[in-house]
Amino acid sequence: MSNSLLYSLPEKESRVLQMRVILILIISISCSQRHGAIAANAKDQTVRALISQHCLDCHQGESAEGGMDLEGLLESTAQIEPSETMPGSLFDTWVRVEKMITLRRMPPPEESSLPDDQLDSFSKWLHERLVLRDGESHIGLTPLRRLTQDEFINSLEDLLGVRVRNEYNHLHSVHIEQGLVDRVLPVEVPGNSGFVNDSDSLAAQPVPLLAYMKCIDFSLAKMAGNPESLQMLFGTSDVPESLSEDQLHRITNQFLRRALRGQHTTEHLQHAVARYRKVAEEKPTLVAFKTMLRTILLLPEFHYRLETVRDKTVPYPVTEFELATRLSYFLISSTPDDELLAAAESGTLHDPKVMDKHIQRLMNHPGRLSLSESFAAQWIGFDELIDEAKADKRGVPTTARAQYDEMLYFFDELFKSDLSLLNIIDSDWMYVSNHTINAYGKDQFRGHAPFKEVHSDVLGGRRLTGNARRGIERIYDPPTLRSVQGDRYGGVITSAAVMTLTSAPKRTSPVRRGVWLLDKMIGQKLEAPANVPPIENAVLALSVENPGKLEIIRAHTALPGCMLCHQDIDPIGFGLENFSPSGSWRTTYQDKSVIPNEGILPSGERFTSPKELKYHLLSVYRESIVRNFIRRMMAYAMGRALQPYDRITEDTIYQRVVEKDYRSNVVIREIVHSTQFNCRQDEG
Amino acid sequence: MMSKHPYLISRRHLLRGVGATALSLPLLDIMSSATAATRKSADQKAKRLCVLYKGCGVFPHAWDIPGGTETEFELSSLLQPLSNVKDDILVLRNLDHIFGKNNGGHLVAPSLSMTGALPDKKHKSFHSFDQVVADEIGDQTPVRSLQLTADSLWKEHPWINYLSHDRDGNAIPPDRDPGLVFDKLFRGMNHGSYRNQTKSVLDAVKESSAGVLRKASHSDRAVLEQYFQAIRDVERQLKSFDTISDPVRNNKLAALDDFAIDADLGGKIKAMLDLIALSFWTDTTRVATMMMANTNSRCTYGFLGLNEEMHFMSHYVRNRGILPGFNKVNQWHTTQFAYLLEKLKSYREADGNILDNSIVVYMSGIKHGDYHTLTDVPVVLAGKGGGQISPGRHVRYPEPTPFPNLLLTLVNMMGVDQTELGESTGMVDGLAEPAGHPMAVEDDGSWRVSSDDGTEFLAKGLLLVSDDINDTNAYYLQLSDNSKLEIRVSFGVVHKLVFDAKVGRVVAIKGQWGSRNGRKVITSLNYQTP
Repeated sequence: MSNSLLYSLPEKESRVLQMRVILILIISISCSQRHGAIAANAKDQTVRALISQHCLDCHQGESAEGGMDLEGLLESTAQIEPSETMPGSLFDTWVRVEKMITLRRMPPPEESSLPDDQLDSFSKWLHERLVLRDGESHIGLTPLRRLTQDEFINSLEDLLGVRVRNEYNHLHSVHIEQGLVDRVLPVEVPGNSGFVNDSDSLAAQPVPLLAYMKCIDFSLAKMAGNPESLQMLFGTSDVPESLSEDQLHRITNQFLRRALRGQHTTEHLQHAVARYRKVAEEKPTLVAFKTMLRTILLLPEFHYRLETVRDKTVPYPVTEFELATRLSYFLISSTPDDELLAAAESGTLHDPKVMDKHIQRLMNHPGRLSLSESFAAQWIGFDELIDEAKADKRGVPTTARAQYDEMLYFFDELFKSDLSLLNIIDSDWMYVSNHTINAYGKDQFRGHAPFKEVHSDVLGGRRLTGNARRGIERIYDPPTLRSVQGDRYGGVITSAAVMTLTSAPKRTSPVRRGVWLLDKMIGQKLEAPANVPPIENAVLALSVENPGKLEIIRAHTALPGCMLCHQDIDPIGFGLENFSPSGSWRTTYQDKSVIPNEGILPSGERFTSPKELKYHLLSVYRESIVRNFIRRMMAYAMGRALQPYDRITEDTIYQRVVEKDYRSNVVIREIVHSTQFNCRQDEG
Repeated sequence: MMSKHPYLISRRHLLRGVGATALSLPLLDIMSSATAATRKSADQKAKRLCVLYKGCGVFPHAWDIPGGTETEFELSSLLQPLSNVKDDILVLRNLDHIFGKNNGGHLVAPSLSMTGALPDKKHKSFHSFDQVVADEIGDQTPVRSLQLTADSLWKEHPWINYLSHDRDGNAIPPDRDPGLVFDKLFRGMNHGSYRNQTKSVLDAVKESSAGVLRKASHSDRAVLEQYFQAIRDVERQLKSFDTISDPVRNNKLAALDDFAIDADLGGKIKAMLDLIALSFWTDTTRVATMMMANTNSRCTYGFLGLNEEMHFMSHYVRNRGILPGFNKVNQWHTTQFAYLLEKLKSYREADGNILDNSIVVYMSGIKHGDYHTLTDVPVVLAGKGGGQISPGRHVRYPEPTPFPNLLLTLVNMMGVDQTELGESTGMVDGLAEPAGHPMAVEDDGSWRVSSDDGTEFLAKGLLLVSDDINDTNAYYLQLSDNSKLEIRVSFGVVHKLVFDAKVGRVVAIKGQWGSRNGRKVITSLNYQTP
């Protein structure tokens, strides 16, 4: 990577980056295993000295501050050879320690801080112990992934050629109602990765088998009445009265290949055919066929993405079909289509050029929307706008639907037109709904010409035009692309969706907004403090009469322990106070007091408008913002929380993304070409 | 219009609730299962357990019953809705959660309340007491246990949403849709052909995927096992529905042709309580848990004229003016509890009613809504548990009485022979018969200032917290001569001393005098070390 690039980055971040680059060089010339072990032990001593000098006064023994006994931690770590994988609990503890030290939250402000050279040697040591194993990079144990409910339903729809979710509702007068499948399936809980496709969290949630059966039966009933489905499955639009042995084998084999993603065996075929035969003795072809499909769609081989295990503790490539499966569920949240299966069968998918072609192809697929509907929605949390607890008798209110759609269309544009990730913080374009534009202020927007087409439009059908509108009174119009005027809106962070999500129904919470932004955008997740003094105390301590919200919070968070986090949280949160709980613009509170529109980031940048705040966020936190996006998307693609050993890949992707103007599709492409995505690794 | 069963609504309503895309509901197949065995006659006295939980605590002064005796007492304002069933309830005071060094426990409260132990930070909890019971008696009914929630899922900290946890501490996701629960309990599985079809497809799945576990790696196998466990669970359920052909139950089912659900929160909660009552009455299950509001609840109560979120309202110290709203919601929750009790009471069984054979636990995991205190948590029992409980009382346990002891006692009453549960230290008394514990802390005459040099002093007394909503930060030390010392200390001190957990208890302090608005008050203090 070029020097000019480094200079274009803010100083603090470029130093960290430089360090990482140096580390990567160190890895590439790493010495033999034996030497590695000795070197690591010597470095253990250095780190031990560093920690005992700066940390052990408070963090030692049973009464260690915050329960963090660093001496015990060092001792347990010394027992582990560099060639061994560190046990999960130790590993997690070190990651916590690392975070506190590298973010300079520890040692605390009242103690002497860690000199730069010591911080560097600590980081290098952690790199060797946490990122590398025996001096080599690796990808950790590959978890077994179960289909999420969305993936399961999408796969059902694609395999049977039916729609089982509710049809898109074009009407405004009827509120959105949940369809059967959304109602019968239990809510999935995101795991440590932040996404519901997290393999650990799926493994901890029971399989809702009866609900699955209900969805399958529902889909099969739809299939039976749909000539196109029958054409796809039988090759004729009518169900044949009986199937010859040949026909049966061909049809069954084809379905098994698609449903089990190329992993079907002759046993599967024999069982399925036998099942068909048994029912067909007494019942019509269609009934027997449905019975057979029902069984196949309940096989664990369908619900789990099983991969061939070679029992290797170093990364090794997955098979072609497995790679096709990974790609398909990443980009379109569904089962691989025929072209992908064909590519896998011909053994060409590991060829980067062929892979690129399929990435391009799938990015034009309607299923691409899952990147916005699942990945972005769960990351930003805008899926929570469609909240049952907030639904009234007629379902989810139109405002919530409009806010949701503004986010959905924004992210799809980002991926469709391969735009820069930095747009997420601020953009001169936005999707704005007719239902929210008055709250934003009509003068804040003008028309915007469509972006140059990179991938095809998949949302167009949701807008009724021309004759289709005739005779329909209350049409729900999805948001449209507009250019942003003025200094209020643009990007995701000042959208009505995010402003609503981070507010209570009738009031804003600057702290909630600040914490949200640090976590979701910058990647600094803060733990909620265990106990908070009543705000009352702060109010009493103030000498001013009738203090404003800002003054109260400032007084409230003035304790050194609070300021550690609040110095980052509060300026951002207060910088967004001009946005009401529903995202509309305001200049005074209900009691007519004026909302201060000025703020200063902890690093000294002053701002007087949301636009300026966003500008400074992008300059101060740019690297963190981009890395945060990369990490989130990697976690989504891999179905697990990121671990320190993923950092080398993250660094590589980060450099590529910076080189390519932060374009969203570069992240996708680089993830697909990463070792993590192409390989698996087993336990020792 | 009043129908024969005013609590039920029409099948037409149910279908509308399920929506146009719904599967057709199988008709009740009352006379099927020719092979079914008749069930044990002991069922006439089958015991049921129901847990009704509401998060976010209460305003203690509105919850606590002031004065009275164990049997003669007036209901507090939050308990007022229970006046019709006062003889069926047992108000329990002074039960403390295990809370270690925490002053408050907002996120861990549901787990503490259900497992009697602190969950670890990794979403893992322990075997919840309802599931301890379900594991013992669940196989005697078609459905082993019922888990319901009326709140939405707070994804940031998933474990606050769950009450029930299996043997391994994994959360059991609750059902959210009353219409589907009705379907699950009283429709599909009751239909013989549905059961046969389901059984045969599961057999085929097992046969076809026999090789999967063999080929999987060690860690993959552990995950796959989850799928086969789900199959076994459904098979067990099929089997238990197979073996019930009880004319009594079938007659009851025949009466359930109507069932209504209003889509707003109130309607949803009512429908869920109806379902619990119906499933107890028809002996479809004997164990149920229901979350009315979780501990970070974003529920709003528009139908009570309140637009603030539940969790926000619970922080009434920080947010002045919201307390009346918070009390109103809490009173409404008690009303729901009362509704369930009255419903259970209206169903006859043998020579009593279902409530007589039930134990209903109504609780919140924390006491003080704003401070998240874990001592003297709100809990009311109802029902006679098949003659094991004598209700109509207000029991104040001596301190300290661990809350897990109550859970242990309850699982034993439900027929589980167990000597430990969570951090329990034994059983509680006072459920079967009057306990005779004193109804207030007994003043032995030693509550006084024992030394005082004008600046520093030693004192012992009863710690009270201000009940003045305009001044909630004041604490008082009540002395034997009925005088009160005013305490005005910083939050840091309150926090460090886990002060709120001591409210209502006798403390010995070492303090310093100061002044406030010309009054002599305590401005700094610590506990006396023995």
